[in-house]
This record gives sequence, C-alpha cells and structure tokens, in this order.
Amino acid sequence: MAAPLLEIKDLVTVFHTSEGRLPAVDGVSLSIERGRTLGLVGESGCGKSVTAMSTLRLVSSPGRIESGSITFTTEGESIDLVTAPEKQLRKVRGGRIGMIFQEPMTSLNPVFTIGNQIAEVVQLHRKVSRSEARSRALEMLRLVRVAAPEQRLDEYPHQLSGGMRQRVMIAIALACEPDLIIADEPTTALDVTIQAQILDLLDDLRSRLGTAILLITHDLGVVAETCDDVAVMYAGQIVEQASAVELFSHPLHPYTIGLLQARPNVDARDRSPLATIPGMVPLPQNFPSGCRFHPRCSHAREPQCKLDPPALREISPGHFVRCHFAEEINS
Amino acid sequence: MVAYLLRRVLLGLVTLVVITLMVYGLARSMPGNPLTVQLGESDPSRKLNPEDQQRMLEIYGLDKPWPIGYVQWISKVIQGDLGRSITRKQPVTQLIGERIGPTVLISGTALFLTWFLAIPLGLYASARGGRIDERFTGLVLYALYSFPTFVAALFLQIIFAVWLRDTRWELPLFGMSDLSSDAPFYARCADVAWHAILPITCQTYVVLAYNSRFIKANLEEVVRQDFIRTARAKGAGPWRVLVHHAFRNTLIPLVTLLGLSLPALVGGSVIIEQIFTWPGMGRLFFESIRERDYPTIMGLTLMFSVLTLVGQLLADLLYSIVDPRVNVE
Repeated sequence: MAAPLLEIKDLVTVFHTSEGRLPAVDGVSLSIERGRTLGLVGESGCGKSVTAMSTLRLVSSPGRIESGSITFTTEGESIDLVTAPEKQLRKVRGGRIGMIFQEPMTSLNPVFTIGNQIAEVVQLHRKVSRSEARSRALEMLRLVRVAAPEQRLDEYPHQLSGGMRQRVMIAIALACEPDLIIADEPTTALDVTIQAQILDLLDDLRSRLGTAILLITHDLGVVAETCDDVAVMYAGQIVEQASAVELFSHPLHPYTIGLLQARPNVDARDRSPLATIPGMVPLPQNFPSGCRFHPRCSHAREPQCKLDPPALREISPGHFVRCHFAEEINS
Repeated sequence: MVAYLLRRVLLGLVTLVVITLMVYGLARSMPGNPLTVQLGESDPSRKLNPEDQQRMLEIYGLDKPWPIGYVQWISKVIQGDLGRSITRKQPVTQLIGERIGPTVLISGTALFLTWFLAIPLGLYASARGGRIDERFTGLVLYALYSFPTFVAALFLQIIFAVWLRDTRWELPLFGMSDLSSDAPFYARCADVAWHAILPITCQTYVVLAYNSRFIKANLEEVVRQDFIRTARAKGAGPWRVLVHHAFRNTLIPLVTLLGLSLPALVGGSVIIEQIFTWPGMGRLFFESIRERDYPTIMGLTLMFSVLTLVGQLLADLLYSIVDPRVNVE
C-alpha cells in the first residue's frame, strides 16, 4: 500500500508558559489518504487547531512541537514537516498544503487587494509573471464562484462579506493546486446558509481537483455531510477514529456518544431537554489522571479509569477507540 | 473630495483665528512692552520718558486695548502683510526668510536621518524581538530617549569642542559659520555643514529613539494579527512577512507621526538653536517673546499654526492612500 498523503505520528505540541509545560497536543496520530476528507472533531480547547497549526509548523511561541513526526508524501517524495528545513517547509506551505482559517474577517491583509493576495501565493510558488499570476487569481475567483470576479480582483477585503472572504481564502489555499487543504473551522464564523454553501464548495472542489481535506470542526453535522473519516479529539488526544459511516452508526467512546446525543434534533417529537455532557474540557494544566474523560464519564469505574490511562485500541477493522470498557458499554 | 477639502479649509481658518486670538491676547497681557523691555533692560538711563513712550506706543498702535490691536493685525494679515518687527526694524516676512533656511537645514536633515534610521531599526527590533542583541539596542534607545537634549548637547560640546580640540575630530562649539561671506561658496557650504553636525545629532537622537520604538511597538501589534498567519501559511518567508505584510500595515500610524512633524521641521528647536547659537526660527521665536516683539510673535505663531493644520490635513489625505478602508469623504 502506498504511503498516505499525510501521516502524523505521536505529535506532541507543548506550550511553555508561566503555568508550566502545557501539552495542548499530546500524542496525536492521524493519517489522511489522497483525495479523502478527514474530519477532526472536538470541543473548543481540545487541541484540534494546534494540531492543524503544527502540521505546517505555524504554532507560534511559546508553543513548540516537542516530539513526533509529520510525514508528507507528494510526488513520490516524503518529507518530515517537523524537521524539514524552513526553506523546504515554505514550499509546502501554500504550495502543496493550503490552509483556511476560522476568521475570514481578519485573515486577509486589509491593505492589499483580493487579486494581489491570491496572486501572491501563485508568485511565491511558481515562476510566473505578474499578469499570469493575476489571470490565475481571476481563474481562482471564478472557481470558488465569486460573483463579478473581474471587479472583485481590485477590491479590498473590507468591501467583501464574510462568506466572500472565506471564498477568497479558499481561492488562496487552492491557487497552487495543493494535495491537501487544512480547513480550521472554515464555517464557524459564517451564517448557516453561507456555511452550507462553503461546505458544498469545498466538497465539490475536492471531487473535481482530487485535493484531500483535513476539516477541523466542532460541528458533527458538518462532519456527517462532508467527511469520509472522522477522528474525535479530547484533551489533546484522539479518543476515537473510524470512517464517518461507522462512527455515526456505532459510536464506541462515551465522549463520542455524548457528542452525538448533544445534537439538537429538529424532527424530534419529544420535548425532552437537550442532552449535555456535564463539566468542561479540562485545560492542559489540569488534565485528569488515568482516562482524561473519566470525571465527565457516566460509565467511569474506579479505580481503573482514574489510574490507568487507556490506549487507543482497534476494536473492529479501522475503528479505534481509547476506552477501557468500550465493548461493555456498547453491548 | 472638493467639498471635503473646502470643509477642512474653512474649519482650519476658524481654528487659526482662535489660536492667533488667544496667542495675541496672552502676548499682550505679558508684563512690559517692546519699548520698556528692549531699552530698560540694557540700560536704565536710556529709559524713555513717559511722553516719548506714549508717542511711540501710538505709532505702533499699542495704546489701544489688545482686541483692537488684534483686529488691526488680522486685517493686515488678510492683505498679506505680517507687519514689521518692532525691535528689529525689519518686515517680519524678511526676518522669517532669513531664519528659515538654517532651521530647515538642521531639522530637515534630522527628520530625514530619523526616518531613514528608525525604519530599519524598528524592523530589526521586531525581527529579533526578545533576543539579547535586540534587548541591548532597546536599552540604549530608551536611555537615549530619556536623556535630555540640553544635557546631551553640553556633553557633545565638551567632548568635540573641548577634549578633542586641535585633533581632526574637533567640531565647532557654536555658531553657523566661521568664514566671511567672500569665502568661496563650496568652502562656506562645508563650513556650515561642519557646524551643523552637533545640532543635527542632538535633534536626531531623541526622535530616532522614539520613532524606532514606535515602529517596533506597532509592528508587534500587527504581527499578532490573523493575516500574518495567513501570509506565513502561504509560504512567505520571514522577511517578506515582516516588510511586505506587517510593515505596510504600520504605515497608518506612521503617517500621523509624519504629519505632526511638519511644523517642527520649520519651527526648529528652541533649546538646540539656543545652545549652539544657531540663527534659526526657534531662537527667533524665543527672542521675540523675550523682547515682546508682538508682530514677530504673531507672524511665527500664524506660520506654525498653518503648518500644523496643513500637516494634519496631509496626514488625513495620506491615510486614504495607505489604508484602503479609509475614505476621506
């Protein structure tokens, strides 16, 4: 079997602050196959964004990748993005891996035109003239279905709506035909109707261009609509990983089950209150001992869950879970 | 655009009237007048007798209450006449014309040096933020910033005019030129430049320290923004991120600073011109106040006020160029 496009192994990203060493990402392993969409799900503060930032080594001080490897295989060549020299990494950033951020309102530089900002990434990665880069920018605006693209090219970010700006971000991310797009909560800041449009667009572009997507979100609805595979993250670790179909039909980890139950159902006849998971995501400075989910888990058993950190186990082919009692809970 | 400019100009005119009215009132309310201060100070025996004094006050129009004097002054200004200096017996415009060159030589060079050095220093400080070499330069700049000019000027004078006397490093203690006016032109230029070194140094260092720290602080603010992360994610190198993406965004506050330095360019520094006996505008202003030379005080006040307002207007117009989000309308 060919090497996956991106393989993250035992990634540990730590923030050294006055409160000590905070492992925001604590031993995450993921792999993404060419042309597929992997959803990385979790509540705010669980380390999903830091995982995404680590992939392109964009975590800024005091954050630092402490250990692990991120192997990116493209054109038959494998690079470890953790140890690659800065120059090589810059070719990957924007060139082979595009990135879309959560805040379309602030992610574009306010003093440059849209066309300028799309053309920049083209010029950084390809030997093209200004006018070639500009026509590529126009082509990209058409691809992401921005209305009146010729006119938009010379407009500034403040003249565009949030949805438009996110389309521009997607255009930037896709301009160099990357193998992978990392989308960090690309729709969170947008209206629901715009969210659907952006997700459709991403999905459409993926099937047309064959770009793999790492979609980071807290919204399981988004995952169900767009992802082939899902990884659920909790307190800096992956707690469950499976194909989307498998995960939604047979969730194994109590946290995943909790997340699925915590979704509002519009069709529900019963008017019972929305299920919630009690408590909050622990912060890295006070991760619980044993299983990190045990203080919030209704199935937790003393002393095992409190003392013994569970390992990520493959319960059925391709379905991994980090729980001592996964089989029992689900039987 | 035209409507905007018109509005700004009208508002500016009102501001000018308010400023000049206040300054005129204050100047006229100071104890003494050009006649008493000028003659009585140097030699009490040459004090004018009361009748002569009254006659001269009438000639200069100083016998009436100051609001009337102000109206007389401003109606002449509208006709383009700044009046004659009472103590120097010269038209005020001619006085300004003589002094403006030396001042612009010093403050223009200082302004240029300040920005020429502050921008690279600010970029450097931001790029190397927190490292040992940056902390050291930061420390030196803060020390310079808090070091008063008049003390620095005296130190420089002691070092270069006293300790280094008769060496090739000697610099003149004060004045603008030692050569007579019949010396060859190039020799006189070189001589003036030689005299200008210390005053320029004094006027540059404080502002340099301030501006470079200002640029650094602004850059640090910008570097934290989301679009900088986007630039890095696009594959831009650290230099391109700093200069192209970050610095371009700090131009907005810099333009304000630059606009505010326009009056200082012509106003000069009273302290530096006084210490180095430089025949510039700052000294002229200082002396005209001491001599109660109302026409000169008012001429200079008017000029500085106009330049301040023009500087602000220019800064506002420049905003709309450096920041596409700003629309002057």
